[in-house]
Amino acid sequence: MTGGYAIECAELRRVFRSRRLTGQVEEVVALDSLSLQVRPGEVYGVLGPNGAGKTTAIRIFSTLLIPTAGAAQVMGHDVVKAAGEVRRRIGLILGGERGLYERLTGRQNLQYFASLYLMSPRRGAERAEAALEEVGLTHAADRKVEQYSRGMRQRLHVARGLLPDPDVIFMDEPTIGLDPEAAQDFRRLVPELRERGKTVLLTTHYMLEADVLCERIAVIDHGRLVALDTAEGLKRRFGQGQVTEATLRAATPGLADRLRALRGVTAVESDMEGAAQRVKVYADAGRDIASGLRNLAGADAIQSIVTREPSLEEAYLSLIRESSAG
Amino acid sequence: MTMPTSVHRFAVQSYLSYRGLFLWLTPVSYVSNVVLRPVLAVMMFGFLAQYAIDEETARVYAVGLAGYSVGRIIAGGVMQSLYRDAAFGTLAAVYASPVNRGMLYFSRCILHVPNAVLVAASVLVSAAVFLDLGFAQVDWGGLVAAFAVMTFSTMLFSLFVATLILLSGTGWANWIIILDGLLLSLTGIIIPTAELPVVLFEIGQMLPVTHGLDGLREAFAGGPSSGYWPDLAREAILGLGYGVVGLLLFRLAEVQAKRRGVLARAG
Repeated sequence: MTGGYAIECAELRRVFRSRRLTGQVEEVVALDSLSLQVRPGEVYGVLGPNGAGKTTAIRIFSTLLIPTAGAAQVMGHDVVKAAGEVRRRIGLILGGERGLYERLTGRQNLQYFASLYLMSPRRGAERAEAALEEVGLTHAADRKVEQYSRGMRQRLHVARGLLPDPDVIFMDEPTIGLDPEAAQDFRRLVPELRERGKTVLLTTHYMLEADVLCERIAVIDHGRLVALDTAEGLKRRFGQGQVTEATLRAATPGLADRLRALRGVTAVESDMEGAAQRVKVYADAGRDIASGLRNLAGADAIQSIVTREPSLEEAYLSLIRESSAG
Repeated sequence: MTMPTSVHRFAVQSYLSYRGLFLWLTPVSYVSNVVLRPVLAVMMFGFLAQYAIDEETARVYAVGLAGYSVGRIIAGGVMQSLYRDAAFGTLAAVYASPVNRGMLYFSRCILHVPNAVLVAASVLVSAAVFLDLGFAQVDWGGLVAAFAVMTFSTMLFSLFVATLILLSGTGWANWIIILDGLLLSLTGIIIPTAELPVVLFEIGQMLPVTHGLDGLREAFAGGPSSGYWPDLAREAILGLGYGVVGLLLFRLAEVQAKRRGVLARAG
């Protein structure tokens, strides 16, 4: 590995083995020769379907899992050979209901976790207070976690990850379970962390989150890297040229097939919303699909029509379809 | 790392893990397990012995049950603490942190000591009330030492068993049932160990409480200190052995969890 990166892995492979009742050993390849480099101070997104290997990668980087093959480093330290050094430099935010002491208050949870990060009593108390404030939980700090809503628990998970004021923060689906307002607060926090020089590796299923927050996005599928670029770059490279969306006042039989026959059209999606028909046409960039649609359906039948660049979600879905087919 | 900081850290980990993981820490569960259960055990075995054998045997049982109850409350509390750390997903936070594993491991048992004191007191007082157990002859220094050593050895033995639970990925409740049976039948609480078949006798010699109970009975009878110290020393050495092996197994459990990927996702 070349070094100089905050997070780096080369040819990382992880195979999970389990033995069936018949004695047969079943192998699941979670990561398959994955190589990534994350620059210091970068917010780096990892997208992929369920089971793509995102969480496995984060668990290896955070020393919770030993790779089957390959190497990984965090801040120049090998995650297996120098796991202790890595642990002093990372914060880990995992989604879900577990990982907290239900019978303790939010503040007590953070005091406990501060002790795991070898903080002095004063430093631990200061950091707990700061982390609670950063996630907007100060008002509920002395309430037992068993009384927290799912969103509040998730905020406490975030606070726990920020507690040691780490150089590198791993976030595995950090906004899962958060209400829109809390998710927006979280999205405001990430750029602040970047301004403070933190490196963030973020996995998410929310494309908007990746689009807005991440400088570069890696798309992984079946444990392999299938694309790496900026959000704009992914849209450009893997989005299908342009998208024309139209709403028709009533259903037009056979419209989708006739649209598919138009030159430059790569895909057509059509569904009904009440009496109205919604059509989404993917086509090569520069094609005048709007005119073609007006000709086929009749200008009066069209309630609204817009042509735009593909979203990150559309680019991602196209990429994953290609990856699965190939 | 300065000494006061590490002591403070140990205190924080002990206190908060006790509050967070010891699920008997509600009024009903606590009184049931720490007071009622041992008192009812004394009444059941004591009255049974009085009825079937004689009053002196009932008093011998009562002293034995004091030792058993200390072992039982410590084992239940300590074993469930480490087990629940894994079940709650909070053990993963430990594995991803730079915390000293030895400090964390032993922090899981220390606050269970007051429960042992309360249990021993409950049993002895109830035996005095219901079975007319007398204390005039007791060597109090020896009695306190015997309870302290049994508490020490059962804490470390329970941590050792808790690591076996982690390694095996099995439930805590099954183990406490087995351990309960072993303590009750093989450590001399009711059945004299000398009467056990050889294999069971040898198993009993490897369990906590067995030697401590011999010492406790000596001290209770007011015998010379030379009569109980060798037993208490054996009990303490056994506990130390379980402490060392348990800590090694705890480290092994961490390595195994990371190799096999069996850690809970959250935490």
